[in-house]
Amino acid sequence: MTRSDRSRPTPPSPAREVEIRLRHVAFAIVPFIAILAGVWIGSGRAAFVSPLAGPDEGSSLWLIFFTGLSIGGLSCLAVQGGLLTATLMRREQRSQDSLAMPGMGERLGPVVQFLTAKVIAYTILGAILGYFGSKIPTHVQGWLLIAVGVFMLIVVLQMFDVHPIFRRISFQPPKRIQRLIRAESKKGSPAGPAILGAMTVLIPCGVTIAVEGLAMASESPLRGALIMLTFTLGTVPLFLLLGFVATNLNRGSYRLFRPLAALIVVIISGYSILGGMRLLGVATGIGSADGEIGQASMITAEDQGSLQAATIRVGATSYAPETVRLQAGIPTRLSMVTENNTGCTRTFTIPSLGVDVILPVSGTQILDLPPINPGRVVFTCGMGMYSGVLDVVAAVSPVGGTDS
Amino acid sequence: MSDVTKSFQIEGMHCTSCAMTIDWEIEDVEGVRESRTSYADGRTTVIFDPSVASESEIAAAITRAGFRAQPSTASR
Repeated sequence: MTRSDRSRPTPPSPAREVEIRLRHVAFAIVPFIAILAGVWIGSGRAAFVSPLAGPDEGSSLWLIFFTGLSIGGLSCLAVQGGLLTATLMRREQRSQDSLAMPGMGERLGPVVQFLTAKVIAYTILGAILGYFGSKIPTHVQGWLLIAVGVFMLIVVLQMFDVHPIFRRISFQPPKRIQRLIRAESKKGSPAGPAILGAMTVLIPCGVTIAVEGLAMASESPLRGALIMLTFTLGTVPLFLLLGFVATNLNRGSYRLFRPLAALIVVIISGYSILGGMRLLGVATGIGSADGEIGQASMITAEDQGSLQAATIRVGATSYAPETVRLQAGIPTRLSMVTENNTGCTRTFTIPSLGVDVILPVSGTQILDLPPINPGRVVFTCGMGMYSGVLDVVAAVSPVGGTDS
Repeated sequence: MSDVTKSFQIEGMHCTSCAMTIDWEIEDVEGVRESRTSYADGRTTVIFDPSVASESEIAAAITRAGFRAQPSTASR
């Protein structure tokens, strides 16, 4: 036996050889499922979305889910899969020592432990990040979203190894933490997989860090938890597969996934950057070009003189009308109407006017705005996902049009 | 025999997870004291006992992890 052989735990058995072949078959199937699911998103299968996320933020959560399923899963699997495999091999070795063959349940049990603990840990982390995010001023959240978007683009450039300079923008966990986790994986204790699963929050890969940024920018512990839960659930299928084949993955599967993964990450990056720009009050031109245009009506309040009134119906995923035409130089009374709305549109902000309110689930909230100079004033939800514009035009007549 | 330090240029890393994977594979080689892989630099620095482990065994560990290795600089 050579020194190199001594460093390996066990030579591959014939059964393991079969598993390795199974792995190749399995990895031919997974990208196919991912592509199929991508088409499913494109066709807008809302019923498929709602059990996961509720109808409001379903589409963006789907993207996060597929980020987990593709690049998130593979990046996480590169390192966490190694940990899990080490634990599984240690346990199997013990089973072989006791002459008992491990059954499928016995093999998947530790994987389920690992994944359950991991999902719980990341969900709690998401809630914590969302809580701290809710304390951040709107404009900082805008910059955070832009930073997350740019970071995601850099991750894509890293995926294709475009230039070594992009590697500089990365986070590598401290060696001490790496050692701690590695030591735990080698113990093979009954609670080992669960402890390992929870500890993976300490070694996030690049995409995970970006999604954590999204959770923080979500402004809410609930949404933060939902984002991290969705992302981590996305990584589950690959880990279950790993539990089934109980072996390390080849890097070919990464290359197979890369184009699809890059596309998903670029889309999320775009969402993130545009959302950040809206939170900074920049009119992005998306979502308002072809929308309904509402016209404010002039009213005269007895004690306030002339002011204009407009109504915005706040749906779970939209503001209607998306464009509200107002006259410059006149105060505005904006009626925000909600009905059974639990979506992120309830957190309503007009960044340039310093308006930042949480609307009731059902009801009407009146917002009195000061006279505004001519121009386009962006209003948006707290995550920058849904938006509209106050199109403020120079006053030409003291009497306006119809109410929206 | 005292420990030696060797560096390897690594090709094929695409994230920091790869760096951790390489370290763990190398540190499983008997005689290796420590492995530090930097994704940013594309380099691994290994401290090992040359009477137990060899440079070729370490390169083989990097290959097993799924990456290509080229010996870089040596010290001590």
